[in-house]
This record gives sequence, structure tokens and C-alpha cells, in this order.
Amino acid sequence: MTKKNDDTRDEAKAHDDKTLSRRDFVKTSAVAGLGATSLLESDNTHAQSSPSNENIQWDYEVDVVIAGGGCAGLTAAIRARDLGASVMVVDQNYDLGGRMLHSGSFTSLGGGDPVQVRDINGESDTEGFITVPSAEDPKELEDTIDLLFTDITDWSVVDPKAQSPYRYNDRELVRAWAENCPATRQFLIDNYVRFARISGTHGGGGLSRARGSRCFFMLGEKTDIKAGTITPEDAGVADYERTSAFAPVQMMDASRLVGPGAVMNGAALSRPLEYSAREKGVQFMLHRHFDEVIRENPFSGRILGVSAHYSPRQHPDNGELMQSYWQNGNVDERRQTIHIRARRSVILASGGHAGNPEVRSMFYPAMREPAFPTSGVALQGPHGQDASALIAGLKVGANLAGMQQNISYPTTFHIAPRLGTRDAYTTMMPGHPTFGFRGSAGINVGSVGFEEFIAVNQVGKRFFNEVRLPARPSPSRYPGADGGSPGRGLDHKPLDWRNCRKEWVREMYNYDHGLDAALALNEGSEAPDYYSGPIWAIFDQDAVERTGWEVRYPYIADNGYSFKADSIEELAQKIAKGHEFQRVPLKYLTETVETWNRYVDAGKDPEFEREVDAPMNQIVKPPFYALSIMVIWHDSYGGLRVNGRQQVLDMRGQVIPGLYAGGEAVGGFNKHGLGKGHVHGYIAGTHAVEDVSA
Amino acid sequence: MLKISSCSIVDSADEVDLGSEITLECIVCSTTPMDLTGEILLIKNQENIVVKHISLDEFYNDGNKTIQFVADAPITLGKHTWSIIYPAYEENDVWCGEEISQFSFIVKPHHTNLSAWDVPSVIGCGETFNMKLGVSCSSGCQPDGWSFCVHDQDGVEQADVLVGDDVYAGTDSLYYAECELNAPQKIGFYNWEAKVKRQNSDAVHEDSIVSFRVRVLEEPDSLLTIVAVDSATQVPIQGVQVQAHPYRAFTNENGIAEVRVPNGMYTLFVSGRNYFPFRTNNEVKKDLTIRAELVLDEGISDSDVWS
Repeated sequence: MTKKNDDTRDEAKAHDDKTLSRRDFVKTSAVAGLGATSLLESDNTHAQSSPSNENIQWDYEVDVVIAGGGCAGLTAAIRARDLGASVMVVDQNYDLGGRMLHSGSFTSLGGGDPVQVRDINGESDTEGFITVPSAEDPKELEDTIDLLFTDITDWSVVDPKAQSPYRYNDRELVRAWAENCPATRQFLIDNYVRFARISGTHGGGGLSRARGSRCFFMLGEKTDIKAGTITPEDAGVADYERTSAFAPVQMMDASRLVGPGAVMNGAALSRPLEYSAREKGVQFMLHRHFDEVIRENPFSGRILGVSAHYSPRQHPDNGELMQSYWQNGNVDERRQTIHIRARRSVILASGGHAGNPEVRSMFYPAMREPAFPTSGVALQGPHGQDASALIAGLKVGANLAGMQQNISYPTTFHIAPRLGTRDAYTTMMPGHPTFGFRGSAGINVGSVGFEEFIAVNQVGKRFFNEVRLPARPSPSRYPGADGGSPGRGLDHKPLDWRNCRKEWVREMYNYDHGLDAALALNEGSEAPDYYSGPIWAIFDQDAVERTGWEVRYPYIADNGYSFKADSIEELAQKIAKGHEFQRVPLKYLTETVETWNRYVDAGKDPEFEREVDAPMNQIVKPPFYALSIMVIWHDSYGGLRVNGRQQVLDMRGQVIPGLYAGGEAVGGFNKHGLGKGHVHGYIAGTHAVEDVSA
Repeated sequence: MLKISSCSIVDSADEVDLGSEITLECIVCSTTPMDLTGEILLIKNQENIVVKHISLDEFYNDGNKTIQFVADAPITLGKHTWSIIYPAYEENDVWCGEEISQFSFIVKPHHTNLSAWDVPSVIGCGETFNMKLGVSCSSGCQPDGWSFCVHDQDGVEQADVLVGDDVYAGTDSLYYAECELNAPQKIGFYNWEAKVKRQNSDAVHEDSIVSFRVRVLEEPDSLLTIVAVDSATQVPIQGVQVQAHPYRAFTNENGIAEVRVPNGMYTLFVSGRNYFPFRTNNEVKKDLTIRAELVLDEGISDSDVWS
């Protein structure tokens, strides 16, 4: 059998440069407050560069260039613009927001931030949208910067594998983060972001206090960022099977944390920031992949700017160049490669490496398997989270930090309960322009749904107790009856050796190694890559009738991630023929199903002891189904080493002048999610403006 | 010089069903790239009979290829060698003879797949029970005059039922029949088999067999009643599955399932419909009612992951 493509695939209908009319001029949209000198056409722009880079033809020149328009990048852009800099954001995608746009918007800050204070006092927000009382006891919200700093450097808190998320955090970096949390919360509020009641804390944000809040809009007759309202259609709540171009993921009910009529998720964080950035005159060059940082000399001197190549995303249905939700501030540039000079500094905020199988194999070699993309791959496109900042930083001598902190986090990698789609992390539905890249929304069977099928590897053999497959590593907690975390009492004792005593570690242990078994070598793993291959949920019509799973579009589609057949043998043939990463036949599938049916008859599963956990059902009633089960590498915790000003450091601990980084591009802080990125962006945007070209 | 570089059967391992439609694609290359779009190829079988005229449709890189086209496979089993012929042509005032290439494939009988389902998990001694049998052909043939023949553990024919004319719901070409059978008189766990009996015993189709198991148990002694409710709301749950192996049932609109079982030890599971499995071990000595409070799987949220 011919070996199928092993490379990370290009997007469907990949762009052919020759088919587009090439433009030799720069088109800018009307932007308020844009200085006449902030953008220059290439013929007029020649930077004063060092001998090694004297031949660079600068196509654009601004004060601050930011690679990436996600949570760190957008925050940095607004902050730098507020401080008077001209700012250009380069992003490989067609729209802004990065992961933030499809996130849940859970933003964990703290240190006595304004939302903590508001909730302690039981106050509403300034607009009076919040009508519910505080979700946390005021004592859970009383916080200080010192307590936050203690929490995020607490050596004693461990996870079920006795590893610590906090022990290895870079102290200068996280001190600066803690000190800037209150200011960043206020900054976000000042840029149209509305926070719900604080409830809990996001991973890695410290356990002794509640610090996390989600962002919301109120449902209304029109979508209006300034008014804080959104239509049900834009929020994706008017029709359960549709999302919108505004919010790629359906917004969640926020009545518990805000009040009736409120909805929340990353759209309520990302869109307000984007709106504000555009309003303030930040320039955006989309469809443009940041490639390299240009330094005076390869490993010395100032950072001068960046190079970036055209990375057009074309609509999956009509092939047209995709357009961002808003266009004001966009720079329509279609030359293949351009150079942008940064008079003051470059900020790397282009995300992590979860979408780059080669880089992630540094941490888990089996995850070099390209069959498993990172989360939100349809929205982000083929270049999302591709380690671009890491790669560019290394080329100019940057050091790395916290690379070991990638391992064992509950969301770093896991098996998704959403089956039958390549993009198994989000709930995007038709209506968002990138849904076509996804093809199917998948069927969310939940953890409990795994009892309804058998899971097989690329040769058709079972490999683990299916019921245990979606189990994830438990989060790090203090010991206690309920496990120490916000909202569960205040009897935590930071820096106490008892937090990591073996009895507690054993109690936290969760039998969560299904993912490892899914990635294991099997008979289809061939040298030199030894890919484990895709994994499949196999079930029959009885399972469909038992569960009510809707095996129809948009949940499944004819896209190689779901199959239906009259017999198991035919099912195996269809998978082998129709799935892009199925490199070998599922030669054992028929035998595996027959064996399973005998186990069900006997009431015992001698291979994996399923009968201990859940009932077992035969797979005999046609038609028969196969849905893909995806392993997801979600986020990154290792990256470039930075100091407390977000300046990138080299291998000798020296600042690389003019280079900043934030969010998932940096390491040294094992904190999940948005809170890290926003504060990094706020700090980087502040100091990047102060940096003056040599 | 021209060279017919390949003719391949699309999506096949060089095996085709007897008399079926096969999809082919041909590629013609030349020593110097030449656009031969529109030129006609002949496909001949091994009896030298033309089975297809097909034009070259696309010039790409240094080759020319046809569209994917359909031809009828031979109606005799075994290895077949077909020829693909580029007619004689003139090049630089030189007359070139026809170019011929050959390709081979195996013609095999149609594969049939049998399925057996809806066999009750437990049957009483000598009881009549119903089940379904289905058959599909790899070439989608209709099973005219076919019947399902069921044999018990001793090879004794228990039923001979005509395959129906209708395709089973949800399938592409699975033809089926419902069988009424009589269970053995003695307690036991029996292997039975079913196969398809075809009129004239044609050579077009392979024979295949499906086996299934018939579990015959003693008469139940006690009534096991399960009441399934949501643990948070105490609302009865309809449609969850109850298993006390090998007995199975589903709860009704009142959240109740009743199962008659012989006395003994049972591990009871109640699960499904998005609820985590409820499990309990019980010795049934007399009629017994168990209340199963099920916990809803609300999905993994950030809060679950991070507390």
C-alpha cells in the first residue's frame, strides 16, 4: 500500500501565488490617528542597519512590530499604542484573536485586582449588568500581590505524578506578572472587556484564592462592543447548530455569574480588544506569517525588525481570500516576503508549538504523529501554533525556559470526547467561515460515551480500557477533603511539606494513561517514524439507538473522520481508503470485533477488564460506524526565556536589545491560559515603547 | 518515443469482482513532453476484443492521463491480462507503430458478508425466539432467490428463510430476513451458524458463514426492579440501560426497568443517556428493588480540569 502523506497537511485548496494578482502598492484602510510616517512604502524606506544587514530593503517601518494578534499580541498592541507608539501586528491568520477567540475567556489574574475587589464588596459592574451576588466567599477573594507570588512559586504543591507546576517557575518573571495583574485587569476593563463574577482559578494561577473570571456580553438587538451587547445569532445561541463569523464557538449561558441574558466566552474578550485596537489606530497585516527576527548581527546587536511571508487563507467553499470580521486598520499586502522595520522593538506573541509535531516531539516523541493537530486548527489554519517565535528566537541567540513544564498538565495533551472530527477541541458549527476546514462538528459523547464502543488503533486492535481513555491527569491541589482549591475552603497551607507527601500524591493519582496507550507502537508502526496512527471508535446501530447520538451533518460528514458500512469488513476497508493518516489496513478489525462480542457474551473482558467499570454491549447490529478519536496537544508551557520586562534573554543571560515576547511563546511560567498572555502583553507593550533604537 | 507508462485499477489491490464495474485510469508518457490531449486509447481484453475507447484528457508535467473511466470486469474467474493501445502515429515525418502495454488483474467471486443480530441475550429452555440475519454482496447484488439457512450446535438445520427484497434501514445494500427459531431444551451456551443458500449454487459469490450464540438459562426466580433517577434532581430517567449480566433491559418513562432473573449474585450496571455508570453488587434471593441515583456527565469544563 502506498504510504500516505506524513507531512503536516496544507490547508484544503491551498493558495497558488500565481493565481493572485500581485500588488506592488500598499493599500491601507482608513485609520484614525495614524501618523504619516508610521507606514512607508518600500521605495522610501531604508533602515540604517549594521553591516550584516545593510542590504535589507525595509518595506514598512513602525515603532513596534508585534508578531501575533492573540491575547498577548493584542494587549501589547493597545498598550504600546496608548503610550504613543505606532504599532503593526502581523498575523498568519485571516482574522485576529488567535486561541483567545475560541477560548472560554477564563482569565485568572489576582493580587487584589479590581474584579476581586468588586466581588468582595458585592458590587455590580459599572454598567449594572451583573445582577447576581458574588460567586465566592469574600475571604476567598482577599488577595495580595505577595500572596499571589507565593502561590505561584509554591514548591510544595504537586500534581498526581508528583511534579510541581510552581516549583520551576522563573521567579523574576512571575513576580513581574503578579505585580502587573491588577493593572492588567483594569486595562482590559478600560478596553471594553466585561468580567463576570470571579469563580475559581485557572490552572497554574495559584490555589489559595479565587482569581478567575470569564468575559461576557448581554444578549440584545444588535452587536455593539461599546454597549456590551450581542445578538443571539452572533452569540451562536439562536440556533444550536450554527455559529457566527463574530464568535466561532457558541457562547455559554452566563446567568449564574452575571445574570439573565448574559453569555460568555472568548469572543467577549477577543472582539472588544480587537475593536479597541482598531479604534486606537493599531495596524494589522493579516494573512502574513512572521518568519524571522532581524538582528544587527546574527548573535549580537539590536533587533531591527522582522521578515514575514504571505500566508493567504482562502475560503474553504468558494476559494476567495478570507476577510477578517472588521477591516479598519488592515494593511492589504500580498507580496511574498516583506521586511518590517521596528524603530523601537519587536514583540513575539505568535503562540506556542502545539501545532508543530516536530517541536512537540521534543517532549513526547510519539506526539510527532501528524494525525493529531492542535486545538482549533480550523480557526487558526495550518500555521497556527507552529513554534514560529521559538524558531525565530533561537536563530538570534535566544535562550529557552521551562521546557520540562510542558509535561503532565491536564490540558497539554489529552483524548477528546468529541469524535468524528479532526478539530476535536471546539464546538464550532456551520456559520463560521472556517467551518469548512473542519468539515464536521463531531459528536461530543462525553466521558460516559466511551462505554458505548470499542477503541482500536491503526491495525484494528484494542489497546486500552475504553472507559478510561478520556481520563486526564488531575490538577495540582492542596491536600484536603475536597482537594484544596478556591471555593473549597481556606485551610490551605502554602509552602507546607505535607502538600507533597506520598499519601496525598497517591490520593490524587488518576488512572489516565489511555493517551499513552493510544500513542504506543503497534504492528502498523514502521521505521523510521514509528507512527502510532489514528485511533477509531467502533460501534453499531444499537449504540446509536441506546445513546441518541446524532450521526448526521453537521456532527459528522464525508471528510475521512467518520465512516458507516454494512459490515465490519467493509468498515475497515472504508477507513483504510478514506482517512488521510491511515497508513496501513485495519487487518485485525473483524477479528477484534468478534473477540469483543465473545467477551460481552462471557461478561468479562480479559484484556482490559472493562466489566469492572461499565456495562459491555455487543457490536452486531448493522450499520456499523467508525468515528475518529483525537489526541489533542492543546497548549505550550515551554518557550523563550524572558525577564520581568518580557525582554528575551540570550544564552548568557543578556537581554537581546529590542526583542520582547509573551504568552505561549515564552517559557518559565507554567500557567494555563489567558491570564498569563494578557499580563505579558501589558508588560511587553509598556516596555517595548521605552526601547529606543541604537 | 511514446510510452504507455501505466494503466491502473483505481482504489483496488488488483483484484476485481467478477462482472463488476471497474474504474481505470491510464497514463501515457513520452521521451519529450508532448500534449496528447484528445488522442484515443484502446483497451482490449485478453480475447483481443475492444472493451473501451478512451481519450487522453489531461496533460500534466511530462505525461498525459485519461479521466477515471469504467469498464466491465470479465465474467470468468482467474487472472486476466488486458492491453492498452496507443494507435500508430507520425512523429517528425516518421511513421511510428502502435504502442502497446499490458496490465493484469485477478477476477474473483463476489464476497458476501453475513450479519446476525437481535438475538435475545437470554432464552428459556425450548422457547421460540426471533432474530435477524442480513447479507450484503461486495458488488451490491440483489439476493434473488437466496435464503438464510440456520444450523444449530449439532449441525441440524433449524430454519430456511428467504432473504427479503428490502435493504435494512440505514444500510446501503444489506438484505435481511427475520427468523423464528426454537431454543434447545437444555440449559447451555450454544454456537449456532447461518449461511446463505443460493439457487443454482452460482460461482459468482463466495460462501460465507456467520456464527452467533444462543444462551439458554433456567426459569427466573425473582423480579429485579430498578428505579433510575437523576441524583441531583431525583427525576426519573427514561432509556438508561440496565445490565445484570446476561440480563438486559431499559428503563421506561417512569425510570423503571424490570428484569426477571434466577436467584444468585449479580453485578448491576445502570448507565447511558449521558449518565455515569451506577454499579452495585447484589445477591438476589427474592424480589428486589434497587434505586439507582445516576450522576450526569456534564462534560469537562475548565473548572473541572483546574478546580
